[in-house]
Amino acid sequence: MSSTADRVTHVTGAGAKNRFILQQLVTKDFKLRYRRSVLGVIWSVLNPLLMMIIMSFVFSYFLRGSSVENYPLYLIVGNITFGLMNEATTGGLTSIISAAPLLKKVKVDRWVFPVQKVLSAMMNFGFSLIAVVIVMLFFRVVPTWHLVWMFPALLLLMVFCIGISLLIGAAAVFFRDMIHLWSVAITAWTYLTPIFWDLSLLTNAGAPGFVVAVVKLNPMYNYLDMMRCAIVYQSSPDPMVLALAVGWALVMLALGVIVFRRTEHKFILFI
Amino acid sequence: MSDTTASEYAIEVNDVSMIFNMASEQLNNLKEYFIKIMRHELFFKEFRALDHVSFKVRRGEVVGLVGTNGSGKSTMLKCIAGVLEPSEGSIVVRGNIAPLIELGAGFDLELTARENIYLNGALLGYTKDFIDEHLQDIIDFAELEDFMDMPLKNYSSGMVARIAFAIATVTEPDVLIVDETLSVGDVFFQQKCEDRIRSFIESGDVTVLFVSHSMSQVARICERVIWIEKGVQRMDGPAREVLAEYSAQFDPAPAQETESVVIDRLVADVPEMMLRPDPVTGHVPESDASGEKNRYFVAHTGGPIRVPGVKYEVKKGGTYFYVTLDPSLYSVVFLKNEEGKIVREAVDEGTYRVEIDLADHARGRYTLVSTSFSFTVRKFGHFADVESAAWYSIAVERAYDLYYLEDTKDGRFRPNEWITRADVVCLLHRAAGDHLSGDAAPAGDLPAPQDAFEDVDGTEYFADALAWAMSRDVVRASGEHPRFRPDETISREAFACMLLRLARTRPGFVAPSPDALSGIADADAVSGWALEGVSWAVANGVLGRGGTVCGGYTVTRAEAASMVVSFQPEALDGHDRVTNPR
Repeated sequence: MSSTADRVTHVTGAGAKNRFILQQLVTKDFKLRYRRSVLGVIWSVLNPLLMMIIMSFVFSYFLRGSSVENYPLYLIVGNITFGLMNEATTGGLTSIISAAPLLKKVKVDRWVFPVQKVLSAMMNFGFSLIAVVIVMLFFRVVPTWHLVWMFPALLLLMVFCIGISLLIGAAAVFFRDMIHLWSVAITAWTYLTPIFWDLSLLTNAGAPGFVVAVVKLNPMYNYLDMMRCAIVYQSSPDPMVLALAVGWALVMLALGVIVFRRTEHKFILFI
Repeated sequence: MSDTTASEYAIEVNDVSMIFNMASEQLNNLKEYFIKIMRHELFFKEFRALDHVSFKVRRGEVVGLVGTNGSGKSTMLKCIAGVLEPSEGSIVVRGNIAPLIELGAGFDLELTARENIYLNGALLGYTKDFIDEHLQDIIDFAELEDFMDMPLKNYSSGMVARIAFAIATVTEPDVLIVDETLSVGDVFFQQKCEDRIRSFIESGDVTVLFVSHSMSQVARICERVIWIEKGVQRMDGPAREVLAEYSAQFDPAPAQETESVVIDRLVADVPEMMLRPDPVTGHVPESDASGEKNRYFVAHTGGPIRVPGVKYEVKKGGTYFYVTLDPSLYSVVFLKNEEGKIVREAVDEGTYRVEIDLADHARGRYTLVSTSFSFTVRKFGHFADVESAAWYSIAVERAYDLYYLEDTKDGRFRPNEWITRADVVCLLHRAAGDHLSGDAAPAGDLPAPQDAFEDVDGTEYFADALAWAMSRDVVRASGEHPRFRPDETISREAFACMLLRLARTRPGFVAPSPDALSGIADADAVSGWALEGVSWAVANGVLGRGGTVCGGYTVTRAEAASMVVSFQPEALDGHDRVTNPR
């Protein structure tokens, strides 16, 4: 690389450089997240546990009609999985804007920032899984080999989130309205997705077919269902669910990449 | 990137244009945007920051980029550094770039210095192993060993800049981009930075792109200069030629333009070139160390300059303006624009004010150096009771500057009181400079004044001065009971005689001719014993400039100071001789 140096000082190739940058940025986010907090990373475990305790206490009473077994586990898996999407996309949304000082000064691939936010969210999710393990131990749920379905589920969700982050991260550069819009969208999405309720509640109540169809097409329903199959139901996911999960991930990634590629040259003028 | 060896060019800029769309108003939300689209009001003004710029830089070449503010230099640098993408044309850079454009990009103030080194290193493209290996080098260069695990937010901006510079330059880059904003940290660290950049340049392997408003710096460092003006490439060629052209635009008189470039270069080596006033004589050397006659314009500040806020109004001289004061004085120099804001350079048109906080112990005159001229600042108004309008003010201040006068306890000079004989010897002693020079006679060789004079016991404050005066034959003990009479006053003719005796001890002494007094109206009134002294004083302009000598009159303190200053012609330093209205 460097004609004068006798050893490698700079990384060769963009891939390795971006990997190192991503690693540093994720590390930075992680360090800053829990800096100065007494419990530190334990909060990643404690937070979903506390949420689950409160929610299961409230909802297990007025959702009696549902046929969900082991409701606390059902709840915590849904919660942390949706939380992963929420954190990843919300981070990705402002990733370009908040990297403005950097983008104005150094040459660095712009996609690194939305992707890094997704990776950071994945890392936090990893700690939240400890909470799931605790709940499983508490309720004596023994996992089967179906647990491995968790990995394709998470991978697809990650791809899906990267797609969204690229898309809305780029959009937010040009229209800051996106930041407000997205928080509304996330709230609506929370209720549309069976996190604390169960799809059987809809069908039992005789909801119209198109409502059920919308819920089933909802990408988050499919990712949550895959996760619950792996952890709660101990079964393989429905082929339809799997197909939709793959489809959504690929469509979102393609859309995100196209929009990002098209607009990224103009970022510098708007940040 | 792979064909580092394939081409002799490190940087190729091919027909690059950079176009910014300047929206007539900022549209930051969807509603506004749609309204504007609906009304077909979405117009953009096109602004060409760079217009078809092309150049190639050979490997190892040091190229300067000049241009006035807003001419597109920074845009060009950012394009080369890869931060901006040119709207048209292409840029090829071969090798690693160390962009010293804006240091510390990507620093997170919450992280510690150590963590930031890795983060910044990653952004600069270093490998992890490389950073691990050179962490100590970086810390050593930044001299912040003890603060490595402290969050950056607790650092001063100078400390942050040190780390940033240390990381950016830890390895020898292929291409170094240096922006003028590179004045980080204190003077010593700046020197260190400059040394490192210079070592890169001298290695011959590093291609350097250098941007500065200081033409002297560019002339010193660069062999080739590219001039960009309003986005258009105006000139590309040898530094000397381009700089001469470039500075020509500021001043239509061609003869002076070349001069200003020469001066720029002379002033460039400021530490060596600073002309320091000799603390004893106040004399400013005429030539610099190389023996070349200096081309400084020395402008006197004229009116009184009051301490501590020395102010001087500077009209834009055409070229750039740096102010440097003799660093050993630890005086702070500010350059302020019309709004009173401190600026680094007087670049834009307007009136600037130079403010200097002279150190408390500063005396005399100081040469301020800019890239286009230098001028002298004098610390005036030392004594509270010396009015600037008084005829003796220049002489008294001068005498003080030159260390002829000492500080008084109450800060008053009492110019109109009679001077005592004791103070006269002290004044002459200091004016002669013998108390400072190394070749003064050792104390043992001086006569003891208490042996010669009955009214002196050798412990008085003037004893040393008196001993010196006796050794120089300025004061003589005579009679059976010789008395010095330290508290008595002195007449003008007696003072003249003392000056004459002192003058005799100096090289180049010319005996006065008897007809020196021919034009003096009161020559007859001069005492016979003082004739020679008064003649000499008149011939040398110390007395009699008003047509009379008033030989028998008693000398005031102000008169004594002015006579001593007149006696030392070099002390006047271009001022007219001080004329006593008497």
